[in-house]
Amino acid sequence: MDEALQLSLERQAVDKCRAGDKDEFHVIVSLHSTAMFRTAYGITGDYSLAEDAVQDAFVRAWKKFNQFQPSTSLRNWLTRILVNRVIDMSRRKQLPTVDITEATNKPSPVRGPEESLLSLDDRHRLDSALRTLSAEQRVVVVLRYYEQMSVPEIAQATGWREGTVKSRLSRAMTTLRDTIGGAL
Amino acid sequence: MTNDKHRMADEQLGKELESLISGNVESVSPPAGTFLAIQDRLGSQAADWSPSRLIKKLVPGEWRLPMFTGMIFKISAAVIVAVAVVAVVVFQGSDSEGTQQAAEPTATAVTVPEATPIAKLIVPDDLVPFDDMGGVAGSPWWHAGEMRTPPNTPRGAAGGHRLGPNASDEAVASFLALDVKQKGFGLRRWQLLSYAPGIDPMADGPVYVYDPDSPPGGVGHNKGDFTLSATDTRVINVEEFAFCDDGRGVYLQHSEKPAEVGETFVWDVYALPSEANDGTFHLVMTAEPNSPITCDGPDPKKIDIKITAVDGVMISEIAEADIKMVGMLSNDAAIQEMCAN
Repeated sequence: MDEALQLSLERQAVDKCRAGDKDEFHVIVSLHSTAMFRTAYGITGDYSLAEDAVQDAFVRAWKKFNQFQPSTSLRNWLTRILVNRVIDMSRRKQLPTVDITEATNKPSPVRGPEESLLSLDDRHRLDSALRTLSAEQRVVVVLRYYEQMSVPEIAQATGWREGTVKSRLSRAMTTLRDTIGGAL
Repeated sequence: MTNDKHRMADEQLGKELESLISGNVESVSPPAGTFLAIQDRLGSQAADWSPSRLIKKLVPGEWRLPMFTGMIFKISAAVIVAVAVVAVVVFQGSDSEGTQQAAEPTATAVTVPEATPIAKLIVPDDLVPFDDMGGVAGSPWWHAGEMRTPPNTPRGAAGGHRLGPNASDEAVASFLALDVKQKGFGLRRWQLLSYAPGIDPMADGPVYVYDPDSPPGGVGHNKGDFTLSATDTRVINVEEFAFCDDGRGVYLQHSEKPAEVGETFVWDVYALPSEANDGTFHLVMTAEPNSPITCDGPDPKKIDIKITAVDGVMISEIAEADIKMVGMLSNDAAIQEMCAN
């Protein structure tokens, strides 16, 4: 997709939405729904939960659209709403987590890329270990390593302090590193 | 040496995670019904919300669908959108039709101690910022009007509480709950304002304005006033509670349903390790099974309100209804006298 055209469409849509044009909001939904869905799925590992979270996030985004500052990143703003929703929903619906011992003994459908230094078995264990993390830890891991956000960007997107982001990331990495032992 | 090793391991681990998560999520896309559901929930029925409408804008005349392959022609005739039911979770009287259904007694069984309720209070103007209250100001949890304890910072605390610089989240949660219970709510009056859906009273910044011309009060701040008011037309509900320091609570005021004024309940505070670092805690209020106090929720006699302290007030929300609630505390001699009985 042409990035310049996408940005142009987004800006037009933002202006119209701020003027109250609800139908134009479909442009924003179309442009960002796939990325948001993948982020939600990465955190929850649950297709239905991710779909619900994305729906709720967009509905809430529309209701709060007059609070969006056009000079800031729409993507980050939407991500913040989504992350809050995912965490709320995860707590209510008990995000599926597994015991670390159980997780490391169960294989998961992971393919091993050629550039990976891990054995296929270790990648299975790493994938399973991701599901043992808390919702907050999954959020920072997904935003850091899938969305490629920096710590300040994660702090902005989540509303957490940078120290909190660093702490959660550090604890998550420690857990994951311990899971694969000396494989790295 | 060990740190270098960890850093290198983390860098490689990061690459592995990037590859792993990407592999897991790149193959999934939101189901087609997502668009129709969002459209329906927003009440926007007039226009075509299918992704093809955007694709036509992006690539005029071309029907290649890079983002939504295989989705747009699936007409989901049976899409049933779950309409979010506005669940007003604040305590409310049981005389409304909607609440009668939720008021089925459950197995909740508590013994609510007697307290001699004081009369309905006229909202006075003595509400003060949370962090200006006696005792609270010396706590490690309040900094610049916010109740937060960033991890890995020294947590030398007043009042004999001491948390090490690397205290666990569990320890943070435990101390936060204790502090909020003892220094926050105990012997206080709490005014809780609920705002109309979509209204965020905190959007314009701090809601307590110090008056530079007034004499210092509290912990040395000049006194001031809240910009929030129970008479604000955007406020849809005003409630007031009294919290004794022994776990008793008394319902003092309800702007809509006065029936339960004077009813008692028990209260407690807890914090979750996963939330405590952000200054978030939970206030739990439980009424007796035969009390006129009730709420919508899984247990009509028990409510668990998730609260975060910010800028001298306590904020909460009913996410489904997009309703913001702001709580303000007061040192009130009448409460102290009532709780002493």
